[in-house]
Amino acid sequence: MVTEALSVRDLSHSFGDLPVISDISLTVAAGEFVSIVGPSGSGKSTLFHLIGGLLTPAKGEISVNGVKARRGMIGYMPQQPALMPWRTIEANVVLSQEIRGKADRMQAREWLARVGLDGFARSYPHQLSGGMQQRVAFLRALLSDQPLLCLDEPFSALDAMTRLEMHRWLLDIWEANRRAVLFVTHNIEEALLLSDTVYVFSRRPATILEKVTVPFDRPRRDDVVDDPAFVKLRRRLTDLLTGAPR
Amino acid sequence: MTLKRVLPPAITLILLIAGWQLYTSVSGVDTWLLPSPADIGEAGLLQREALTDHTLATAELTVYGFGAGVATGLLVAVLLHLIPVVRAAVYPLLVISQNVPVIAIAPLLVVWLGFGLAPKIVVIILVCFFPVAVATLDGLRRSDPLIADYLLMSGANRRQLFTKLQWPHALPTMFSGLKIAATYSVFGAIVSEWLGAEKGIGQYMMIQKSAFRADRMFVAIGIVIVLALVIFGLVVLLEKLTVKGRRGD
Repeated sequence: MVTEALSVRDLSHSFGDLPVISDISLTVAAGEFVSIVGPSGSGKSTLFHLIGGLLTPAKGEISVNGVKARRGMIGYMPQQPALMPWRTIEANVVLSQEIRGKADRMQAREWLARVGLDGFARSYPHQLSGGMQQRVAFLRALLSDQPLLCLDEPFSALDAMTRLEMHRWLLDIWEANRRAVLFVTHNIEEALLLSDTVYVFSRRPATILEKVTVPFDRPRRDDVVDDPAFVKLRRRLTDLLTGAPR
Repeated sequence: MTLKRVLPPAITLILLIAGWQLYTSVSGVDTWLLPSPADIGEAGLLQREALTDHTLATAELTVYGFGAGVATGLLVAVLLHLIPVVRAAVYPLLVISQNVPVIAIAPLLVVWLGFGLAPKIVVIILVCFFPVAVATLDGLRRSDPLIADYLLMSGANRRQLFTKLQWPHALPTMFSGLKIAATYSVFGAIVSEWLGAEKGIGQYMMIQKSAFRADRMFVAIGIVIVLALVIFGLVVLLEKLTVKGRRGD
């Protein structure tokens, strides 16, 4: 039996009297790119905190690579880059490795060059643009060498142009490295463009409205968004999220 | 750029001194009451050997006291930060204790510790540790919660959270505290020497006061200012060497 990178079963969680997540089950297979789309404030970040072991689920089970979820088992990329301003880019990239033991600076420098950040290894975060900072944050998650990457609305703070660039960038890297990814966003097009599977979350308390398998080939091309099937799918998910009649 | 910043205060200072010189020579005020800048300069030159001795003694005392004060301040900050119970119990009292003027406690310290180095160091510790402790504690507490979440999810333990996030985050605020403490330390050294010392600028001032030598007292004041500036400058230099990147949001 193949162990899933992530398996969430019958998960419910609440903050005090406020139910945030209600009876969610989802899986991410090894090498699969899975997105969760949902309205803002639908408990998506809470889900990550549960998977990352910051919170303990009130009900249900989460396992990462077949092991009960605890801290230090995922590569995490938060909404804001959350880089340390006093560390150079290179030192930021190796942070998660450092926590687990040994930091490989050579590898970090190689990767920085590979993701278009050569020459910035010794710069400080404030010298980089928002898009570049997010690349650094992604690299930090990638180099944590965890089989599951959790990306929490990583591009939501970027302008539309940079966002498009980042999609291309992420697709290229991911398609060459095939890590299991759980990607949270409130952008439907982004979810469809990047993912193999999309889960649609409802408003709080979050439940799964629908699981969609995205039928387009890899490597994905940018113009897939103009494909009639893509447009139709996007329409359907938009209706689902806004609650319009289908 | 630097010249633009230095020039206006320098010109102001020169004008002030020139005005002072002019006033003393025009008004004919007694030298023992208000000496002219030229008188003061002359007094300083004539006394330079004795003054060097006194200055070195005070500088040494200041450095010891400052070091001890900073160490105490950092220790208090880290303890209060790491042990919330201690923080809750001690912090409010610490703030209130700052209403007690150190100069009022100083004679008591002499009773307990005598006239040696010990009471003087304690006086400087008392004036120095508080700004360092409060500034550092603030810096430790206000580290970015997003980065803290990131570290915890990446499996960081409490020690790593402290050494990798909270401590480096606290450095710039700590240096603000250090700068305040640097100037306080010279003040503390002078006050402690007033209590009784064999050497030092503070002791020199007391002697000149008895002799009504205003000119020499002005020289002593000048030395105190220079001492404070030197220590302040050293702290700024250390800050430049250790604090990298830009903080805050």
